[in-house]
Amino acid sequence: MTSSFSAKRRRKDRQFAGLCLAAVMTCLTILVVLLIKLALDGYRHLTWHFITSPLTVRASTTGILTPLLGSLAVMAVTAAVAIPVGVGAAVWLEEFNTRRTRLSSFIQLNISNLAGVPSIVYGILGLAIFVRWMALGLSILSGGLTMSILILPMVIIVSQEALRSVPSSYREGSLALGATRWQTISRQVLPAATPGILTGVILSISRALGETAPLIVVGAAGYVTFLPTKVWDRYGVLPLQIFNWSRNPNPAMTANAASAILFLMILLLALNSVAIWLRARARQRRA
Amino acid sequence: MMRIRNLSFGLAFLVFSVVMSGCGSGGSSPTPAPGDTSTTAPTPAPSAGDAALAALTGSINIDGSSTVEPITSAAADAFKKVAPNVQISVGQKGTGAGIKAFIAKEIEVCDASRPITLKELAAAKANGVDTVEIPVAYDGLTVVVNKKNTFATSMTTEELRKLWDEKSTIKSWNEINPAWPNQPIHLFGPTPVHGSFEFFTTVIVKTPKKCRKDYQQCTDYSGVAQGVGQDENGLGYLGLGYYTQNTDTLNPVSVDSGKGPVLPSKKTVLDGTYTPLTRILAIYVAKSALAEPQTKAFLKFVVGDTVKALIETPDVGYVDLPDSVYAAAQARIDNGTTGSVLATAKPGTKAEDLFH
Amino acid sequence: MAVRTGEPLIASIRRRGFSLPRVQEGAMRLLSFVFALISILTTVGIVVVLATGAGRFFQSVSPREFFFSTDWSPAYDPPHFGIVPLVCGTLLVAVGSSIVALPLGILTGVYLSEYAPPRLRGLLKPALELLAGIPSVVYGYVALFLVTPTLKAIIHSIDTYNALSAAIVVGVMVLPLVASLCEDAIASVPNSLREAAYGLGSTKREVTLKVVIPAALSGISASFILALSRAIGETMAVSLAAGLTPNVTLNPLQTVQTMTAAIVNLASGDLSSGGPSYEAIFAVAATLFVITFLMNVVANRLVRRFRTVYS
Repeated sequence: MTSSFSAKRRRKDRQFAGLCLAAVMTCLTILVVLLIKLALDGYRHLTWHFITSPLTVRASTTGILTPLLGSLAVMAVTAAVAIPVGVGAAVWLEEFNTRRTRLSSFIQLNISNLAGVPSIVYGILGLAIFVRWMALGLSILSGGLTMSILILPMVIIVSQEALRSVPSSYREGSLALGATRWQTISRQVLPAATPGILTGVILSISRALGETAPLIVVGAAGYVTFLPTKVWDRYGVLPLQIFNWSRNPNPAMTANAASAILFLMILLLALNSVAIWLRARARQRRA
Repeated sequence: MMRIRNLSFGLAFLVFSVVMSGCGSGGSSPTPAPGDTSTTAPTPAPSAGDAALAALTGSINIDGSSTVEPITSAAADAFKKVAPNVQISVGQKGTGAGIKAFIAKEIEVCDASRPITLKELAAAKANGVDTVEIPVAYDGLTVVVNKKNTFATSMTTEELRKLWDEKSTIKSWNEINPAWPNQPIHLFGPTPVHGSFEFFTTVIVKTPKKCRKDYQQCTDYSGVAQGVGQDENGLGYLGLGYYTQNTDTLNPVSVDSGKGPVLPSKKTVLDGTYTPLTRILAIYVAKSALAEPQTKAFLKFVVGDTVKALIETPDVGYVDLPDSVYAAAQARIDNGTTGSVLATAKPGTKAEDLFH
Repeated sequence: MAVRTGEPLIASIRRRGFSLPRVQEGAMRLLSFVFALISILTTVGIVVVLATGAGRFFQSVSPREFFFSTDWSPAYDPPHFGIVPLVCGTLLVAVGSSIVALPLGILTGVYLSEYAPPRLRGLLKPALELLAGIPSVVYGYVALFLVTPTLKAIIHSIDTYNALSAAIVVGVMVLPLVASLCEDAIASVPNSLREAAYGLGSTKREVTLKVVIPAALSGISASFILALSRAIGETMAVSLAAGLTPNVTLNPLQTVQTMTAAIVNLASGDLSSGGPSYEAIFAVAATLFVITFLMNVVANRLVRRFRTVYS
């Protein structure tokens, strides 16, 4: 077959393939360079002791257990709220909303707009609504809720794209067999869209894990004497600890910041791996 | 295709092994890092009061300046050892937002790197919050230049004023002092929203909140240390602790306020010879919160001996106030003295003249 | 017919009678509608907070000064509130990061969906997600300790804090978003279109560039818009990398302050809250909000024009 193409077209074809490959290799190189740099800077202090010790103010004794628990707790609240609400909203926008009214286009526009609002504005909003108006105080609950409204637009947008990518033949076939719309959605469309939704959820939760500025406004602490366990406890989060330690005058503390960064990266890697596994299982089930 | 696949797997393996080896090699016990020469806090002599402290419960919410946060954090850390059941948390949303939260009764203690204003005091009073002001440490502002700069060893306050003045056109070192080389000067300093900016402009530039606009603004002292440390022609000001921890990249500039050049150090800040660049850091507590035993005990601890030793450790980096001031602070806590001395005081005044 | 698309629940029950699936349908429809409304509530909340704050601000500062003055010094005495330097900063970083992220992103997306063997794809996608998950604070750190020193070695005249460093880092940050969404969009183009094009004798490149990408244009544009919005709204990495000194310039080698860095600076500083210096936060955030809104309106129009639905 290729002999029927002119040499010029063949050459251009190869060039384009090469260009795409080069782009991918660039991305990979960037990632590898970043990881190597972070690993080299941080491996020295990343010990088991470091991970399981609570926070202190001394560089030699401090650990990241306290902010780690805080981050995990905030993430749990965020996921518990943002995923159902986000996927639910996307389902309404894509599946139930067949009449494309002005309200729905407005909601759509609204969501893409929210994705670009700087994160600190969500912090200010969270302070006004969750901390003050709902009187939830400076707690994990207000922090988690603030994070969930922050990532909500992203979850909705990527879930929508995932739902859009399910061929309409799935829906039409199901409806033709007499299923209600919800039955179609829950038994055909959502399972088919799950891999894409999971991708989006991973990206969104990872983003929430790394936020600092809005949580400072909502009251995240740079130091707590206890391990945050209940949702109304005050808390610290890993990125905030990294930020603080990197500004400390003591170089031993800044070295701890590098180790905490490395740990955060490993945590994200673990999170991503779990999601990949889930996604592969979802793909398998569908096939 | 095979090659691409192998290359990619090779890359993945490389990444994975680097990351994993990082964890593995860290299995040995942590070696003390260089620079961590902090002295351990002196263990207080056991007394009957210790049992009372250990029995304390409750929580204390602190927030405010990120400059003062290291002090209250260190105090909370040490207090945990004597009163393990008290839950203390220290935030850092900034003095402004912290005072607002303080007025709104969301927090009991506010860290402040600038004095509370009279307007804020009144707003607190209007909301039922009686403010007690407690001085905690000196922040000795140090003027620094790059390590390679061996000529700018001392400057007078007048030279500094002319350099930083709003209308200043000084662009090179020899315009300050003809003996210095004709090199461009790069200025670094904390951003104008930082508490030290108002202080510096008031005591050195003599025009509060006004100075030249072409200096490199940094979020905080660590940014200034980085900036000046990497720029041969840099000059900036930062807290003493940030200089002492970076002596390999920074040189101090002695400040001559009329009685000869004085190098900043713990001694010169404490006895007042290093002047006028010593600012007082304070915390504000609600009088009603002092009624709670754990809060009162904690605040007395903050102005006590244990924390005094911690303030000067490398992780915190400030300078102790004179003993008389700490005694006065103790009295303020015991009596619940409301009102702010610093709100109306002249910046740069010695702490013992304000608190007795 | 058992189900009429879009038929209200009550009418459906009246027509066919009560049954569990229909009630479930109605309940889920209502619940998901409520969830969709939460996004509106968020916007309402943001608009209320920003508008009231900006309203207070503009009572003491003239809009002309705010929008046209080139002096941003809110903490000085007397304060000046000119947003022009901040807009320059945001523009530099956003455009710069788009130059980094968009070409790389779309080509990566194309490669992932068209050229990559499945096992390589299974490796690359997680790698991209990892890149996306790196927190802003870490990117700021990377900018300060890796990107800027490297740039300094190449271009000696560059400032310690500069816009180029921030643009590169933010570009890398949004790159996975673009790649991932482009890849999803391209992968969802039905194979029948590709097969038809191949059947007519096109090379892979021609199929990709002339058939697949145009078909996936709505998804690709969505990814571009999302990436640009994210770049404009990025806070921590930019303030750590580009610095906090307002500067009216289009030179990426100089220090700049973006609108988001200005907001964070004012919000976490030691200024008294109350008074125009603090309220400036709301004015800048409101401006940012309006800019992103206008961008999205325009982009929406474009997307709708190009959107083609394939069954």
